[in-house]
Order: sequence, then structure tokens, then C-alpha cells
Amino acid sequence: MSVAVDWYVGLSAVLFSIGAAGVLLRRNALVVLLSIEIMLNAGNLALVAFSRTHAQHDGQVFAIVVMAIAASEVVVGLGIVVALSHMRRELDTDELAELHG
Amino acid sequence: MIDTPDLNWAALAPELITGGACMVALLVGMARATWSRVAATLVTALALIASIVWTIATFSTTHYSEFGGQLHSDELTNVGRIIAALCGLVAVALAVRGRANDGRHGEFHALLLAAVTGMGLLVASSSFVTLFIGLELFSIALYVMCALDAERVASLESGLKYLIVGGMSSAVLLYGSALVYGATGSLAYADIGAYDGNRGVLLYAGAAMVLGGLAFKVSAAPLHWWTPDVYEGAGTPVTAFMSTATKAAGFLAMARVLTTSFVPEADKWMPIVAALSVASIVVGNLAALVQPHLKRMLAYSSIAQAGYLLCGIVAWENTGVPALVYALVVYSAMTLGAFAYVVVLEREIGRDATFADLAGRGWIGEDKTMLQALPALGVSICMLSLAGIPPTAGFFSKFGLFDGVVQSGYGWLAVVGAVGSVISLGYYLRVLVELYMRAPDAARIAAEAADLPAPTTGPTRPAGTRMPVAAALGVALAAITLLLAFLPERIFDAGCDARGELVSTGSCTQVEAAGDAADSPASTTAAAAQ
Repeated sequence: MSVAVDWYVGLSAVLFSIGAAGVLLRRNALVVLLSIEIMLNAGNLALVAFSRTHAQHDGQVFAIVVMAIAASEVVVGLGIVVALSHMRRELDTDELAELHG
Repeated sequence: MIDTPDLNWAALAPELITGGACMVALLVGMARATWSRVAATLVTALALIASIVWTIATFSTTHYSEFGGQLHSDELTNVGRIIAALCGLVAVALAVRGRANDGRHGEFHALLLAAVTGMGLLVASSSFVTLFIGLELFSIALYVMCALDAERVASLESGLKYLIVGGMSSAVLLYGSALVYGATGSLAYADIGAYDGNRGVLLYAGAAMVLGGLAFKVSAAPLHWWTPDVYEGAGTPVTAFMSTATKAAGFLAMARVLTTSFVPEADKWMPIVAALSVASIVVGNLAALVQPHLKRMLAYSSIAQAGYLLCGIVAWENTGVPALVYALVVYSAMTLGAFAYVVVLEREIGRDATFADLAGRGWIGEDKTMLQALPALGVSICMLSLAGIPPTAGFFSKFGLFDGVVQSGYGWLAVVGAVGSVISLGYYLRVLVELYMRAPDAARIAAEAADLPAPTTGPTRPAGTRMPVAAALGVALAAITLLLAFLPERIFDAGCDARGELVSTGSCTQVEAAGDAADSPASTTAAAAQ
């Protein structure tokens, strides 16, 4: 079975829109990070699909590069989220200590 | 034996220096000893100086299509490398006592070097792969740098906000380059520019998304909304670096992409860039008028300045590139000078600074010698230069940019820019009014300070910390701002060389004429442009 490349590009456009909507509409930092990943992977899908159309490897190599970079970006994002949640918890425990006086 | 590809490492030497020093700084910073802080600073400063010296020594040496067509090392690249490294050097000096003593000096300096490396790679990129790698390398380093004061909620928030909008803009840029790849079958700028098949909707959409992604990074309106929050939350040395080096790298990369890949579409993207420029000038200047907080004011000011700098891209066919190069150098000097004073002030009062904190600081009296009032004079010069008042360099940089757009048939853009400059006097001169014409008022200071984000709770330097290095640096940068006004030729020449790498038509003679006009501030055209 073969699927025309248009469908892959169409799917990547849909994924990109879903990701963009997620970044703009969701408030949870983790979901927003997920949405950015979806956007980047939409780009990857388009790159790989076009790579097949042009019968080249450039797009696929680029997609692998993007995966590595996207991973490091998410690591930084998660690190900051963890640091923020740590701070939150510490503040909460401080309040508890005060109540018990 | 293993066959290795024949790579020209000389084309990448400045990035190799800073990238290698990044590892060393990280290792040195891990040491618990007291010397580690000094050593990290020294390693970073020496690496940046070595990179600058190498770049200047080999300024006119060009390497094309190195590393399998991924990199161009030419005059344009070298201009970007020098500006980024110099901004990094200033940030290192500002951080000497400007950062909290939190033991993260290794990370700070390593990330700074990584960011400079990424900026060099970005301006050297000649394909969308290296563009993306360079962009992400410096962006990710900057996200962490923003969030590095992890004891402050504001700092973490700034890092997270920057990461989210930065990540989204990178994704937009990536998708744009994927579409361009789909339309033309190539990722290299030159091949895309030379593609003579169907340059249709797919390519237009891709080009627009690439432009949007880069406009995000240089904080051009309407993609600017993250800038004030991120600049406010990040540590001031980081903000100073971010607001100058990022803009230089972003604008030069934008100039290269647009003028090599999308020349046939120039009549379509030029109005878009002009519109971004107008939006930035209007939004930046109007919003800056109402900011009580110095760093937020400077953030909006940087958005307005991005609007002026975009004029250089609009005028790419004429004298835009040399004017852009000169304007980037001048912008970096005056903005860093302003931030240097903010660092000094913040350390003295022990919290973020507002306009009320400036009151009376320019006075010379019993408690203040001439020398102690010098930093205030320095920041005043930087503000006048940012406002574009002759005979400061800021005037000539704006003159060059507006001259270019007039020649390109966008006279109305120059008018908008001139009106924007007039509005900008409202907040730039406010700094001078506070410094020299108002008495310190404790009630007003308290009222304005109440709106600031929560003060640092972690390890910090106490109020009253003296910052001799930063203060001296601020004065030096103000002097450079004045000096640049009288020595524009060397930078214009470098800009002309950079232009030669991008545009083959037209010549730089008009720029030289502009440079001559710049030498005589009284000339009527110059007065008209102001």
C-alpha cells in the first residue's frame, strides 16, 4: 500500500496546529512543553515526508538533528518546572510549620 | 586507517575556541575552592578575547560552503562573531560582582560561552540545518541563564516563559524550513535562492514562518510580548547580554536568509518586514513611556530599537546592510552602557531599580565627588544616544538606517521612525530628568518599589555592594558611544564587506556618502532625518 505524500504533509500540518493551539490555550507548563514537542515533531514529519518526495537524505538527517535538540530543550524545560515546584512545596511546608507554631 | 572527511576547521575556529572553553569553564567551576570563581571568569574572558583576536586577524579571510555546504565564514559572519563575543565579554565583567554568590559561576560562564558559540554558528549558517542548530544552541543556553538564579521565583518564571515562547518560535521556524525544503528540495540557502522551479504558496508559507521565527528572537512586535517579562526576571548581566548579542546574531542571520534564499520574493517580504518595523517602533515606544521599572523600560526600548534595526533589512538592496552593521554595534554599546549602570544601581540599593531610585544621583555635592557622579553622566550619554540625539552615535546609526529605507522607496517608514524617536525622548530624557533635576524622595521610592517582583530570598549580595568594574565599564561604553559617532568609517567599511557577501547588485558608495554626511552633523539632510 502506498500513501501519497500530501497526506503526510497534511497530517504534519494538523499536528502543528494542535501543538500551537496547546501552547496558546493550555495553562499547565507540562502540557505546554508537550505541545511544543508536538510542534517540533510535526516539523520532523514534514521533513521526512518531503525527503521521500525529493528522494534525498537531507531532510531525514535534519529530522534526527531536530530530535536531539528537542530533547535537550525539553530537559531544560522540565528542569525549570521541577525547580519551580520545589519552591512551591518549600513555601507550603513553611506555612505548615507556622501553623503548628 | 579510517578515512575522515576533509574539513576546514579554520572556518569554525572562533566557535571551536569558545566551545572548548565552555567545557573548561564548566570543569573549573565545579571546584569548591575559592579560586574557582576567579578561574571561571578568567577562562571565559580569555576565550572570548582569543576568539575576538582570531576573528579580527582573519576578518577578510572567507571560507565558503564548508562542512558539506553547511557553513559560510565571511565578513558578515565575522561581524556577528565580534559583536557577540564583545557583548559576552561585557556580561562577564558585569557579573564579576553583579551576580549572587551562589556557586553557579561555572554554569553561568559555560552557558555564556555556549551562547556565544551558538550565535557564531547562527551567523555562519548557510543552510537551515545549521541555522536551527545555532539558534537552539544559544537559545537553550539563554533559557538556563535566565533561570539560573533558582532561588528567585521571578528568575525561574523568566526562564520558563522564555523557553515556552522560544521553543514555539523555534518550532515555527523548523516547520517553515520544512516547507521551504518541500518546495525547493534543498536546505542550503544558495540552492533555495537559485531554485527556478515553481516558487509557489508552499515556499511563501515557509519563508513567512522562517521570518516569523527569527522576528520572535529579535523581539520585533507583534512577537515581542515575552520580552519585558523575561528581561525583568533574568539577572541583569544576563539581560544585558541577551538584549544585545541575541539581536545582533538574529538580525545578521535574518539578513543572510532573506537576501540569499528569498531574493525573488523580495517584493513580498519587504512590506512585511516594514510592517514589523512600524509595529515595533509604535508598540515599543508607546509602552516604554509608562514603565516605572528601569529594566522593563529598557526592554520596551529594545523592542523599539528592533524596529529601527529592521529598517536595515528593508533597505537591503541599497545601504541597509552596512547601516544595520553600524547600528548593531552602536546599539550594543549604548544598551550595554545603560545596563551597566542598572547593575551598579541594583547592587547599591539591593533590589531592582525604578525611576524614583535614580533621583539626584547625578549631583555632585559634599557626599559625592566628581568621580562618583561619572557613572550617571555615562548613562545619560547612553540615553541620549538611544534617543538618537546628535552628536552621539545613536543619531548616525538612525540616520544610516532611515537613509537606506528612503533610497529603497520606503520614505514613510523613515517618517514613522523619526516620529518614534521623538516619542522615545519622553522616556529616555526622563532618566536625565531624574538624575539631575529631582531630589531623592523616600516616599516615592517606596511607592514605586512596591510594584516590583518579590526580592531575592536566596544567597545574594547585600545592599551597598560597590561595583567599580561595572561602573567603569558603563563610563567606558558611554565614551565608546561618543567615539563611534566620529569614527564610523571603519565599521561602515566592514559593513560594506558584509554587504558584498549578500548583495551583488548596487554599490556601497551611497553609504560612504552617508558616512561623510555623518561627519558633519549640521548638514541639512541629517537634520531633516532627525
